[in-house]
Order: sequence, then C-alpha cells, then structure tokens
Amino acid sequence: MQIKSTLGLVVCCSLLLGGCGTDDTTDSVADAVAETVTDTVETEVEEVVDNIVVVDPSVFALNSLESIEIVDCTLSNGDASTCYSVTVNGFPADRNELGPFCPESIETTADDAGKWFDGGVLYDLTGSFVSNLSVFYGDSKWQLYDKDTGLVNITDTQVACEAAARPNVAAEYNNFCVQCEISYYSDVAGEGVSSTYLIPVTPVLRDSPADISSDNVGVAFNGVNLAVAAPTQAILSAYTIAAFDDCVGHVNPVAGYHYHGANHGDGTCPAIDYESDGHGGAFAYAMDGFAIYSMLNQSGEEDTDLDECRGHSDDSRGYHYHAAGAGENTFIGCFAGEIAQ
Amino acid sequence: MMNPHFKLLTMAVVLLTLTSTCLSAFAHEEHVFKAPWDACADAIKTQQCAYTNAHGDLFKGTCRVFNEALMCVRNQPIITAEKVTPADVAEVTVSSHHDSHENH
Repeated sequence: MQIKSTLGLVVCCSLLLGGCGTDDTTDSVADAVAETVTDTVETEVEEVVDNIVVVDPSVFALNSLESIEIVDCTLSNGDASTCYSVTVNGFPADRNELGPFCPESIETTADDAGKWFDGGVLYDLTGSFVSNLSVFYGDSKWQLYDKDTGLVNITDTQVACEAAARPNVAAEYNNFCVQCEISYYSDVAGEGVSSTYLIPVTPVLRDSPADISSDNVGVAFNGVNLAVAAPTQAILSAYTIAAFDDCVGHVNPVAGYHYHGANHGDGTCPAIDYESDGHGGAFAYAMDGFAIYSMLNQSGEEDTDLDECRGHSDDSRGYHYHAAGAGENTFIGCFAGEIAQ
Repeated sequence: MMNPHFKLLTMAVVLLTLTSTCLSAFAHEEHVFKAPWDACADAIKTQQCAYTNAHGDLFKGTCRVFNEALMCVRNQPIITAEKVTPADVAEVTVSSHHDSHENH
C-alpha cells in the first residue's frame, strides 16, 4: 500500500541560519526556513515494500540544513536513479556547543572531559585516565601531562591541532591530547564545515554487501557526518589521543565535526526517542539510504539477527541498520544497498 | 578406553591452541586497541571473527573492509566476561575454519 503525500522541501541558505545553535533563535530560524520554501516536490512516501522504505527528508533538523533537493544520480550498480542532495552546515542541530574534549589536568573529572575508546569500550577521558595511560597501554613512553604541574598537553592552536591531527603526526606533538576547535574552520557561531551527501531516494538492496571505502558512512538527522573508523593505530603510535566529546565526535580540518560512534543519552550527548513499539530510535541515514537506529531497544536488548552490515528487516521499518556500541569505532559493517557514485 | 583425565587434558590443550590462533586478541590485552583488526589479521572478508576487550567481554562478528583494512565488526550481542563459555569460543573457532568465504 502506498501513501502519497506532498512534502515541502526547503532550500535555504546559510545566511538565514546565522543564529543556529541557540535555543533562543531556534524558533525564528525554523520560521525563516519555512518562509524560504523555494522548491516543493511531490514525493511518494511508501510503507514497507519489499523490505524498502523510502528516505524521509523531513527527519533532518531544519537548523542543520543548508539545502535539500532531489537530483539525478547514478548508483553503484550503474543504474540511473534519483537522490536527495542534502547539504548540512555540519554543526549538531541538537546542541549549542561542542566538547569538552581533552581534560585540562590530571585532576579533571568526567563532567569536564570527553571520551576515548579502545577495544570496544568507551572510556571517560578523565585526568586520571590520562595519567594512567602508560599502564593502560603497557608502554612507559606515554606521558601526556606535565609531571610538575599536572597540566595535560593539549593542542590549543590551529597550527598545533593540524600538525597533530594528520596521519604522520609531527614529532613535537607526540604525547599530546589532540583537539581542534570548530571555530578554526567556521567563522559563524553555531555552524561547522558544510558538506553535501547524495542519498538514494529509494534504497536499492545489493546482492552482496559493499565495503565502506569512502570517508562517509552516512549523515545524522542533526546534520553531523558519520565517519569511517578512526585510525586508532596511527593515533596511538604517535602517543596522541584524538579526544572525543560525549557524543563520540571530534573536529578535524577536513570533515569538521564528525562522529565515530553513537552514544546518545550519555553525559552531554542528547538522547534520541525510542519508537512507539520500543524499538531503538533512528538517528541517521547511511549513504545507501537505509536508516540507522540505536543499538538497543527500550528494554536494553540488542537484536540477535543482525547481518554482517549490522542490518536486518522488520515489518514496520523494512531493512535498516543498528549502530554498533559507542566504543566500537564503527556504526555499521558494510553497505547493504547501492550508494550514489 | 581413554583415561578421562587424559581426555580432559587433551581437550583443554586443543581448546587453548585454537583460542590462541583464532582469537589472537585474547593474548594481547596490552594492545587491545588493535583487537578488532588483529582478529581479522589472518582472515578474509566475511570470515567470522571475535575479540575480547580489556574487561574480557567477547565480541563476535564478521571481518569487513574499512579503507582497505579488515576489521572485526560485531553483529551479535556482546557476551560479558562472566558469561563467556568455552562453547562461545569453540563456536567462533569452528566458524572461522568452516565458513564459505567471499573474497572480492
């Protein structure tokens, strides 16, 4: 059965979103966006047909969007199709600020520090954690703080962050906690690094899953990039910690603010609602157009029938993914559907 | 008939041997950050894999490619350390030897 509805797709410019990111301006921004509807397309919103649910563009937070439109595209199987071209400003629409990331000193507690993950576990990046790194990693070369002052070595300038955030970390930044400020890459408060994602309007299941070979796994409804696995081996081999905030996100010069895990509802990271049937809530679209839901259901259980991509199907949602644990350095295992080329 | 003690000892040795070869991450807890990659070091894509974290929790999944590197992506619920059984280990070991493999 099909339900047809007309969805107003907004095309707005970043100038209208200049005040994004604060509670006071959210309503006015939404009003401004609503008034700038310049393109309306008729889209068929379908219920589950052959395990497929079409992408719903209305789930994207208005104050994260710079534009969204339907464009012609070619899928990875060579077929001509239509895709949503979604341009986001890169700043999480559900937050006012990013961080905290690195702890300031070895006395810093979890409330004022971010996260680090290792072997599937997400840890509070407290001062205590930092001071114990040589034991944690079994390597006496770890010394991320000043022994006299207890202050943590933090990349606190754009030059330092970029020297330490690259694959071949500059030697002088060994034993640094790496954090980059979004202000280095965006002049407008409440905005990040603009990115455009091509997502098939109607997902197409592949015969066999595809590798995740690009930098993008998907995009969250709040406008944040879902990145591929962080190169922890390279990071740690330089005795650096690329600190995350509570949402398992951090900033780099290329992608801006991006996620390496899903950690909704912990610390300063906003929770997402469960579905009415207790199923985990959706928070993102993968690049193949299938939605990504939280790992656990309302009872705290994880599904036992996930495929190698961490996806499965049900009658309500069709084929969909469930994110891996917050400390697992991935969201999904592969693309079950065709992606746009 | 085999001495029951000898049989038990033999099984233990076999299990330990398989564990050390197939669940390589078990033996390198000081380098657990590499565990998801180490678990697929001698594997090919789509092969079953498993690793443990620093707490001893067991992660069972499939080797998948990320930026040309194989990494173990969990697709079964985490088995906490206190609930890990020899059967869990054996299941992973058997799967890793008998799965049909995709390699493209």
